[in-house]
Amino acid sequence: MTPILEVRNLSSRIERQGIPLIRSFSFSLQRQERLVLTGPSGVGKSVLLRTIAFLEPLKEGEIYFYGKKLSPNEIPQFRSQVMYLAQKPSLSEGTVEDNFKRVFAFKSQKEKKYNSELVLGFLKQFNLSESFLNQQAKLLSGGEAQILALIRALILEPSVLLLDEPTASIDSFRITAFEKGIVDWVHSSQDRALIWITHQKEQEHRLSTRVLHFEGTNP
Amino acid sequence: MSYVHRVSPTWYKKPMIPNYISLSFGQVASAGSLIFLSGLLGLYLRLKITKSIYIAGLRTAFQLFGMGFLLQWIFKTQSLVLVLAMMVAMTGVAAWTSTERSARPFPGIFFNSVLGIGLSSWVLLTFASTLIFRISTWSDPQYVIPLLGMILGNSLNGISLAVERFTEELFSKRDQVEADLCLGATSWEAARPSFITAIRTGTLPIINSMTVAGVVSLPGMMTGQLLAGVNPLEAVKYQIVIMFLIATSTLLGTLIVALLGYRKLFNSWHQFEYWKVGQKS
Repeated sequence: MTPILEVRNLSSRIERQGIPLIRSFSFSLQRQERLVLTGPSGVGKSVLLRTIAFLEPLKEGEIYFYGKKLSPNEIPQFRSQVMYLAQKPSLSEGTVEDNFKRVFAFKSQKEKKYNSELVLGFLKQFNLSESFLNQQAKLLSGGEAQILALIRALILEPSVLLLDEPTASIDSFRITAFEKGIVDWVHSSQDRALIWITHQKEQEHRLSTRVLHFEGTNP
Repeated sequence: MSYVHRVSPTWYKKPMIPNYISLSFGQVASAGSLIFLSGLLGLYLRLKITKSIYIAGLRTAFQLFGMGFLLQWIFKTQSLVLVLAMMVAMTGVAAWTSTERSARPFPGIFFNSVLGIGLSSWVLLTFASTLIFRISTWSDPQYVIPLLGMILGNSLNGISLAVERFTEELFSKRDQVEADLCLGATSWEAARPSFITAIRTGTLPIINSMTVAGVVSLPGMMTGQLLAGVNPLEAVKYQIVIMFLIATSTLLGTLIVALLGYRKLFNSWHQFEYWKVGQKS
């Protein structure tokens, strides 16, 4: 079966001491896979995810989405399917609900509609009360913002999530619900998959179907 | 109105307007005593500004006299080449001034601002000289040089505010810009909030000036015309025209520089090239 994502010989633009942080790196991601990336800080795990999301230019190599190479004008559509969530969540001015609604105005999302049922369902699943919808997004705590940024991504129905230490600032009592929510999300449709960066061994065991460990150099 | 007759050098042409008090060089020098006293005050209070005050004062006098001689020469010769050279030089200096102190430069910022400031002010100048003032020769220096100077000098401010704000917004809100990109926004959709903020920031000063014109402030050009003995209603008409020219040129210029900045900082892969911000050419 064609993998959802395939990366061949990828080298990153970002270098350390003149050598690309990610060098000639290849891997593929199958449907239903939950790939966990581990390794010390600064080895390029985030850079890898950012490069896959086309936030960073490729120095060398190719990225295939369902076996197809992408052209520049397909990038927004690709990103609406393969969504990278940064370690530091970033919501814009306005209420949480404003944040949820405004992303539906993007051209690549024009076929989707804001669905409050879906939003309420996710809030419940992640143990957040409905009242969050009317809160000013800029005033949320780091952990709350992190969860709401995830919900904002989920309501756009992507097929792959690229999560960069998503539980780093989340309270421990919410982590279980968070992890379960994401695993359930992967299971709830055939064409979904996940890449997750973590520093926690236990989380790696709980979540992964496969692990890629980064040492000082590439795995 | 008394007019003190003095023996003037041949290059000095006396003004022709009847109600006009011509200043002698001595009278200008007596205003210079104010600067001299300001410097002394600074010295006495140990403000460490005396040197700057004197240098700035000397610069004002030399630069403006320089400009005066130059303009007199250009007005007299009416040479097309000279007028054009003067206008190009003014535009170049304006563009350079608008970007030299930018806290967040990026490659090509100077070129962008030449294009933004140059295009917007020259378009408005052409409009003004052909359709409003309807001067017979478009290059008549008595009109085009002061008009260009006023449009440049005033729109320059707004344009440099806009460039600065645009890169600053994008750079400081990079998280948000990238978050939007990641949610499927095109580069334009992701840059638009910063773009709008930049345009609003750049046009705010002129919108404020227009709002208080005649109520709080008597704008400089109008004041000059009143002092020169022009009928107030005539002076007001000129002032209105000038403000409209400046406002339009500012909006046009900010749009151009922000659009060019956008094209420079985003590529066809809908990537924000944040690493370019802070680099000089």
